[in-house]
Amino acid sequence: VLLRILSVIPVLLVASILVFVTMRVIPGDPVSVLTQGAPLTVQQRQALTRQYHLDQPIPVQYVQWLRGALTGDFGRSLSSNRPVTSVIAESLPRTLILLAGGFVFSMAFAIPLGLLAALREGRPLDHLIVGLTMLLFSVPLFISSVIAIYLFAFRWNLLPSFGFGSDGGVGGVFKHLLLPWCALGLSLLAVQTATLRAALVDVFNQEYVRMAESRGLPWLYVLRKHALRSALVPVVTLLGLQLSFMLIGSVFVDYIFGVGGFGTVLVNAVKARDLTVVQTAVMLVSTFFVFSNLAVDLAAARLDPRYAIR
Amino acid sequence: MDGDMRSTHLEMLVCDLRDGCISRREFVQRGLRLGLGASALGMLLGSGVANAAASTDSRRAGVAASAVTTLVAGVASAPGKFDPHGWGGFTSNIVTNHVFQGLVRLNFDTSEIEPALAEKWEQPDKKTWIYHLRQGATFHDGSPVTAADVVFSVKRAKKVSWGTYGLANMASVRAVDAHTIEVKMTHPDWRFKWFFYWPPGAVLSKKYFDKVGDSTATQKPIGTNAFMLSSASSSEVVMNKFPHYWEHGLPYLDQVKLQVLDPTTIVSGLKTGELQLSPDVGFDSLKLVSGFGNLNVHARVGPHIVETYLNMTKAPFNDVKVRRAMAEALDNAAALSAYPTRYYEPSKGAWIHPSFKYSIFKETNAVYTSDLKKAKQMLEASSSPNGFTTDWTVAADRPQELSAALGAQERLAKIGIKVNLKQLPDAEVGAASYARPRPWSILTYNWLHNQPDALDPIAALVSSADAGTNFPSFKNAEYDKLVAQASITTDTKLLAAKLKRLQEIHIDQVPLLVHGWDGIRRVQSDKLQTPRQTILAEWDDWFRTSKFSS
Repeated sequence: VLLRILSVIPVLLVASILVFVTMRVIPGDPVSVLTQGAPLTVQQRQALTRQYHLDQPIPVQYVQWLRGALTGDFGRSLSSNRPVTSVIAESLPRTLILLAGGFVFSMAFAIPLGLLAALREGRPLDHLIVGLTMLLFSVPLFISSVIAIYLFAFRWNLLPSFGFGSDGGVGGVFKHLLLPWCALGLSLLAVQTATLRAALVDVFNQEYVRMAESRGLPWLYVLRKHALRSALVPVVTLLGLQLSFMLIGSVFVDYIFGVGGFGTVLVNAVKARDLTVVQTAVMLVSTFFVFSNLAVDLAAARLDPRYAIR
Repeated sequence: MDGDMRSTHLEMLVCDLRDGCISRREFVQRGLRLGLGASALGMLLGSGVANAAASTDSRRAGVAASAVTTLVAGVASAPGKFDPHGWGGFTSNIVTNHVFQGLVRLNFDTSEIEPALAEKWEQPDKKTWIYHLRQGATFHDGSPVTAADVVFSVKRAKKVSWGTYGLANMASVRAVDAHTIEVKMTHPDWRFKWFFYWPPGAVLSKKYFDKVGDSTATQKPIGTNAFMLSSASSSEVVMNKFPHYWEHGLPYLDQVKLQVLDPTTIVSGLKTGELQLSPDVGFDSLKLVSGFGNLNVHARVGPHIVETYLNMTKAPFNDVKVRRAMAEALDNAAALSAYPTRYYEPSKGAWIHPSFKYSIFKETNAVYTSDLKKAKQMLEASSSPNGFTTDWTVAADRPQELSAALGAQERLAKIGIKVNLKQLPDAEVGAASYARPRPWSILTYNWLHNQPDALDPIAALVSSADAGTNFPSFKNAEYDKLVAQASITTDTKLLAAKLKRLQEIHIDQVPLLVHGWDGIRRVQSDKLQTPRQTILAEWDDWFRTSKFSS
């Protein structure tokens, strides 16, 4: 386990180099972003370039940035001049609530739908569930979000079209996040349902499950103790990857529904070419990817000891 | 401390107690510092507490009351820095317009200058301006506005950015006494009267800047205008009413929230009523929103000139025949036909929109006729008879400018001029326009009028006296002389004649190509009453007098 945790360090280092170099080579002039295109004298331009170490070679800039990053100092936003850590940190609680809600929504539907489809394998209900979830999966997230706003806010005026709703307390947040949660959850639902269905079909055909049933154990006991436990291993394994994709998806959902979380920060930083914020945000996503996969590996090993041996 | 000052502080103290901003203990401590007796404080405390209780009751009265006085506006870009002396983006500009104020401002009805932080001003001679500060105006932290603040602000503006253009002719600025400021110019220039109206003329608190430094002061700004910045993030900006604003009874709104949203969500929010205003509805959605029934679309075409600068420091653009051939070849009406003329008006050569004083729109708008055959003949008679290849810099994220450049690219190809478009972010194009030596051959950008007459762009963009903004590097002795004369004269007939001749020179010499005029637009709830949209609305503090109809 320790070795697996330590293996994360070189991965993160390589990711940070890639992110840093990419941000430096893409077209864009950070000084213009700093001044929003305002007129500058040559001296003013040189002073700003020095102040932000943009006159240094890229490896030197990287080492300076890494040194700061290790102490939690990611520099200042080029457009607002606020510390990047504050800009991102203040958005994270909203993103976590958005992700948690989307995850709960998807699992709340994926488990019963997967189970139902597996129990009715090859029958019309199975085809309907698989077909419907795949249809939902195939619609890009930004399209489904816009459709949700069009139908539930624009057309029927049932739910708010944007915002976090913190002014209205827990009820306000729930009302404002219902559509974003659904949009985000639907993107996860299809894969989770299909994975669980396939795993359950496989497990139901295993001899130990048939044996347990033939010994007269209650069906629900067999399902909970034997079938679901094994079937959840691939679901959990996939979850790491799915959560990472969910974070990416949340960027679109967050921005389109104006939730004011990490996605809004990232999209606005990209639009404003705010290099320092984009760099830190992308690094955060990479770290999330790496650690969610680590967590999944550790969880899978706990569910099925064979994973630990591998 | 004189009597007036003490009564102002006392009034603020009572308001703070009433609004729950300070505790009773703090009230007594600060009251004693003002020299009030214990009995007087006791009486005031009684009335303050009574008012505080009433205020709490009204807050408890329900959401409806607060919903009426909170305006939620949808904006498309996140705020940057809140520095009125430097451009921080469109959303920051809305904030700084409402947080800060200059010595003068624009009257919404007459579009003339009227007193703001300066109660009055005079010109003892043509090169001297003396401003007398309004008594009782304070910054959001309660400190009074002094002449030292104005001197500090003017000097900072000149150092930071925009001011380098607006204050080019300023020789000195000094505080005559605590409430009087004297500005001396190097030579007479009536345009200076507009300086304290637009953002670089905003008055900042010297004390606050000295205390917290530039970085914090432009993140958490305090000004003197009707709204105080309460919070700002990438997704939302909240401004609250300044309770001690010097214009009694204003503002009507208690709070303004600027919500940063995707353009699609803005349209939906306006339809559902979650948003009551947006200055950022795209051209493609204006037709849709105007059909919603609960919304009004306000637009003023003219102040934004979409134009292309030709770098005249090098060939072939130093040949007037080439420039004329290019002007003849353009068809702005076709290139920008996707935009409704109510919100965008194409030019046929004229530079100044008729909304601005001293425009000679009629005489200049049909000189070039979009005749490709004629354009080809004009090019054949130039120093580049077989055409040439050139780069053309344009902002990728500004649709009107990009459409204009794409349209020009297509038309110019037909007369033998091959254009390679170089699409950059908006901020970079802006920076490139000011860079010297000019890192571009052709550059499309825009200019926003800073005063309601023709002289501002005429003087700024093509006069070699102002090297910082003379983007094409146009050199014409007659032109420079006319600009100098026009900025001195106060005789309107003479001024009109000078400006007419300047526009004629422009049409003849083509230092820049004008594509058209973008509209300042605002979509808002039909229940929201906003002041008349002036021709310079981008710089106006219109939330100050906005209110919801009952």
